[in-house]
Amino acid sequence: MESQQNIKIFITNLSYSNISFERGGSLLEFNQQLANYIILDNLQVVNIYQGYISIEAANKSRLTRKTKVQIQNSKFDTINAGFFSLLILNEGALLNIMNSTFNQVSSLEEGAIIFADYQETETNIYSSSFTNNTSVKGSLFNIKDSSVVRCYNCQMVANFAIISGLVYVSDDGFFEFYG
Amino acid sequence: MYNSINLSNLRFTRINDEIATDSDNKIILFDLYNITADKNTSINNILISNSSIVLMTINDIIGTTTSIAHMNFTNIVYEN
Repeated sequence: MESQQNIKIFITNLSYSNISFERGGSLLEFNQQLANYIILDNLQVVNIYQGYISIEAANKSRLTRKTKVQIQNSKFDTINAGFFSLLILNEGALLNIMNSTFNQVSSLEEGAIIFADYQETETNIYSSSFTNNTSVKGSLFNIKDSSVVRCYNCQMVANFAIISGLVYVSDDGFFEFYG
Repeated sequence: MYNSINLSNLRFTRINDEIATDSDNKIILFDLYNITADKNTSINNILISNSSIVLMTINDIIGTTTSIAHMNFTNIVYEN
């Protein structure tokens, strides 16, 4: 989705299941720069291979308006992200996640759930749980280039990585955990 | 000109775009653009199964400071 103006978009009960991308591909792609968040309520993503959700501002010279996405009351289960991450954020991305569950998401790279990439992306996660997720480095989050991920009242149980068990942070990335 | 877009109860099966992963050559079922702020869009009960296709792109939504375009999507299912 790409637009620059004042609209309200609600997406309710969107479901993806049993989908495979042999070379990787977007389940959803957000590039809008609106006053309001796009709200995804009860998003269900189950049994996916190399499908991801990408968030990145279309117009980098106009970052006073971020690409705002809110995912709430949602479920992500049994996802093999392959060489990708489930959520890929780039410049201008502002993501809120609320009351959601992430179970059995795996990646052969870094950060099975979120790759907060170049640069200064922002993610706020509230009252969500992460269980049985795996990757090579940083099972949940890979945070780079002045991006920040904040977790409020989150549960993280039985996640595994060979290096950096939960979070891999580099190049001035920030991770903040609040109880 | 239209006052609103309403799509509901549609089912798509076995629509395969062999080059869907190539971002420059996607085949798109619905390409929405130039939707102005006094129009409402509602898309409900869409099932896409056993397909490789982009459901929708949305471009150039024209809102104003005094009126807001509303877009609501409910019960959209992709499955194989």
